[in-house]
Formats: sequence, structure tokens, C-alpha cells
Amino acid sequence: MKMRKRLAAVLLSVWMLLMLMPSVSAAGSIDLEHDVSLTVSYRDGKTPLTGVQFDIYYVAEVDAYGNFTPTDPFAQFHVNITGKNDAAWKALASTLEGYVLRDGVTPTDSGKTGVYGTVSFPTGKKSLRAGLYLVLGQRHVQDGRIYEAAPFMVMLPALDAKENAWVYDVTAVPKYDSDPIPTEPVTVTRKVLKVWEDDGHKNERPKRIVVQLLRDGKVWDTVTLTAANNWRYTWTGLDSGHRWTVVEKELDGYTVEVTREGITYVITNTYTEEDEPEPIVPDKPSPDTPDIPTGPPSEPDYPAKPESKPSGPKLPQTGQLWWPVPALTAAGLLLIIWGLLRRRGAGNEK
Amino acid sequence: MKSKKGNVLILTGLLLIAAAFFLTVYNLYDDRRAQQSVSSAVTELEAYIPEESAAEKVSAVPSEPVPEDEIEIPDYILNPEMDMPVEEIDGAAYIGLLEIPACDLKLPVLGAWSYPNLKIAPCRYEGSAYLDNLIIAGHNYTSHFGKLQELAEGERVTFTDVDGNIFYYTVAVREILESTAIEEMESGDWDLTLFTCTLNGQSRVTIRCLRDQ
Repeated sequence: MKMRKRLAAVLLSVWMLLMLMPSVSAAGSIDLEHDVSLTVSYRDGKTPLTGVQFDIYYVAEVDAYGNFTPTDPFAQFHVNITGKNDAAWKALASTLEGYVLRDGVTPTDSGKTGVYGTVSFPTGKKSLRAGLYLVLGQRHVQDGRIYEAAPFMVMLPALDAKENAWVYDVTAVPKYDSDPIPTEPVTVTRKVLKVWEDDGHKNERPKRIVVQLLRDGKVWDTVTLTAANNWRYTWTGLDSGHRWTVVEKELDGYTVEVTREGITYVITNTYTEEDEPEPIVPDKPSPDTPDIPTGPPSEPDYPAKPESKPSGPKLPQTGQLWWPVPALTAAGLLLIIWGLLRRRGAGNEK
Repeated sequence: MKSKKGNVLILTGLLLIAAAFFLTVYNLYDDRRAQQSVSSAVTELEAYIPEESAAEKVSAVPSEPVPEDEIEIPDYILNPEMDMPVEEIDGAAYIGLLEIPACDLKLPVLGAWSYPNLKIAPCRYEGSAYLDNLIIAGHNYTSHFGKLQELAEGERVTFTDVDGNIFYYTVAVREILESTAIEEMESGDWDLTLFTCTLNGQSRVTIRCLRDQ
């Protein structure tokens, strides 16, 4: 029986909030000249997970007021890098993971966990710039179990909301999934489901989108989603021994977000008014009230509209034509009786 | 002269009765055709629809918990605004099966209404089962929605979409709406509405249902 271990989930969640949630506190502006560092602590309970490679990617620069500017190549991926909550940051990490693997983006820094299950960045003589980072951990096997670290975003420096202060040396505890190594080959199913967030612009949707399934970062299959296949697809019989990821080919005019819910990858495309990326933070807050941008607009509300409506002012006529039957019968009988009476009258006159 | 006029009246009367007869025969024939139409569609839909929805598959084996990341969550839960998927049978696009045990009815439901479609099977008038605002219109053939007026409050109704997701409802209200009451038909917080013509065709028998929690 499979066992799940999510010991670090809560810790990471706390960290995500600590590091990424916006604040209007008076923590002051970010000292961009200050050295920043990240330590990843990777453990299964008290057991350090050793020799696990973590790669970090510099996704966005940050200015003194907490505003992000995406770096190359992340600016081209049509993602919204201003998460409004923990779930949005998680989705951003999941989305970017696919693009990083597909395009083989070179990590900003890489390192392996040591005997205590920790790895610190920058490694060697490198240095890190303040900003937003994506952190990816590689699949790891230890003591008969397979560990998959969940990708996550981290901002350096992080905002300690309790202390109202910027923390320049940050420690992160990654969330992970853990399963025993299967004794027999196991196959898995993966689904992709397209969600459109395009209230009022439904007619402008592209007729099709292209989705790629990656196996260990390499394109394994390419499928086209359309209204005809209900914007969804299912892959079955996939070898569980590989890491499966889904990416959407970039779509002009939409931001993309990929989240995983069970076996389903939900790809959400949100309509943007302009093809050009929107300025992330149009107005800079005052230096006294640093504010990490809060991200995408609130979710649009678009109820499903009927595809057909009655053309006239009436509800559809859904009845058989029965009413003439008694009317015709009654009228016919009356005429027959009347006719018989006339004939009888004519006979009597003769 | 009177005799001749009497014969004309009798002949006209016979013609009217003959017209009533032929109309009756046509209606009965049409009713039978409608029954055969839904019967074959039900058979094909039942063969197509998976027996267990994703959610049921997961809960069916409680002794072996499925890992969280291997759970299959129904698509409509992940995206309630999604269009209801359809299955095409003989060129007609169906969104699922409607069952009303109290009326001994099992009917296919077409995705969009039109007068030709209404002759084949009940049709979605508007809304979605996923958004709890589905309205289904049906012809009052005996084999379609002709028995709706017999449906009492508290009776059970189920709708199964083509993915195999089953939605359970209970009849809450039965009302008669005028044929012009479009706004009234579409208003109200009803999870499922079924309607058909009254026998005289002037009003609509309307069944309002609430989804079981």
C-alpha cells in the first residue's frame, strides 16, 4: 500500500506566505546592494535527503519597492509573475517548470544537498541578485522511496511580516511527494483540461491550442485541443517511472497558468486586453510602504450562456396537435345531425 | 332542396370526423416514432457513457487509498463553466441521460433545442448541470415529457452526463407557466427545470428540481 508523506507542506506554505505575500507594512525599501542567499532544507521527517540536485532560476528582478520585472527568457512565457496568493505562486512555479524543462533553460545556480539535507545558494564564488526565483528539485531515490520535490517560487529577500523586516538570508523547506519504489511496472494516466478566462471575449478565442506532454523534460507527445474535443485530452498507459509534465505552446494575447489537480493538468488562459505584456506595477508605492505587487485581476465571472434561445416571444411549442381532434369531431357530429334533420324535414314536406 | 343541403351538411360532417381521425392516427404514429427515436438513442448513450464517473472510481476502493496526485477529479469540478460535453449519435449531439423513475422514463437529452430536435428527444433549453441551472424542454409525447404533469413533489430525478457524472435531484415545485413567461422560466434558483406543453398547447407544465446535497 502506498504511503504519502507531506511533512513539509505546512512549513512550505508558511514560508510561501512569509516570502511572497504582499504587505503594506513599514518594512522599508529593499536594499538591492545587500547580499541575498537561499538555503533549501530537504528532509523526510528527521532523515536528511542527501545528494538531491536543486536548480534555481532567476525569474524576475525586483526593485526597491518590491515590483518585479521578468528576466529573459521568462518574459516570453506569457505568465503572470505577480501571484496574489499562495495558490497563484504555486501555479506559477508549476507553469514555469514546464517551460524550463521544455526549453532546457540554464539554471542560474545548481547545487546538491549535503549530509544534513541542505544546500545553500549561491554556490561557490557566485552571487545572487535580489529578485524572484524558481526552485526545482530533481527526482530522488533514497531508502526504497522515490521523492519528487514540488517546484516553488521564492523571493529574495523575503518579507518577514511579523518583524516587518526584509530577510536577506532565506531558508525554504520544499514540499514533496514520496512513494515506495514500485515492485512491478506501474502505468499512470494524465489528463489536460483547458480553461478560458475571457469574459466578453469568447469569440476571440483561438480555434485550437497546442499542448505538449513532456517525459523527463523532453517532448513526448503533442496534441491539439479544440472545442470539438471539449478542450481536453487524456493520456493513458504512461510509465510511472518518468516525470510527466504538460506545457502549452505560448499564445499571444493570453497569460497561461498550469496547475495540477490529481491526474489533471488544468491550463488556464486568461485574456489580456493587449498583446503586449501589461506593466506589472503601473504606480510605484511610496518608499515608506513597500508593496509586493498583488498580481492578476480578480477572476472574471462568466456564466455559461445558452447557445440557442427562443427566437420569438414564446417558449418553445412542445405539444402535439391534439386540440383539433375533439373540435373537429364535435363539429362533424353537429353537421351530420343537422344534415339528417334537414333530410328528415325534406321527407316530411314531400 | 332541403334534402340536397342536408346531404352537403352530412358530407361535410363526415369529412371533419375523418380529419379528426387522420389527425389522431398521425399523432399516434408520431408518438410511436418519438418513442423509437429516444429508445435507440438511450441504448447507444448507455453503451457510450462510462459506468462509473471519476469520483466514483476513486471512492469505490476504500481499502486502497489513491494517492492525492493520482486522484481523477471530474472535469466539471475543475471547471464548472466548461461546456457540457456531447456525444454524437446519428448526427444529433447529446449531453446526457435524464431518468425519472416515477414516470418510468429514461430519456436522452440533446445539447441544443430546435423544433426538429424536439421531435427527436428532449433538448437543453439553456444552462448547465455543472452550474446548477439546467433547463430541459421536451415534447409532450407520451414517451417524452407527456407524463410530466403526473410528477409530484419529492419524486427523484437524475441526470447523467456523457462523462458518467450523475446528478441527483428532487422535485420541489410543479407549476404551470404561460407560453410567454420566458423570464419566469429562466429565473429562480432552480438546479434543474423540465418543461413541456399542456395538452391545449397554450401553457407549459414546469417541474422545478433541487439538487441533492
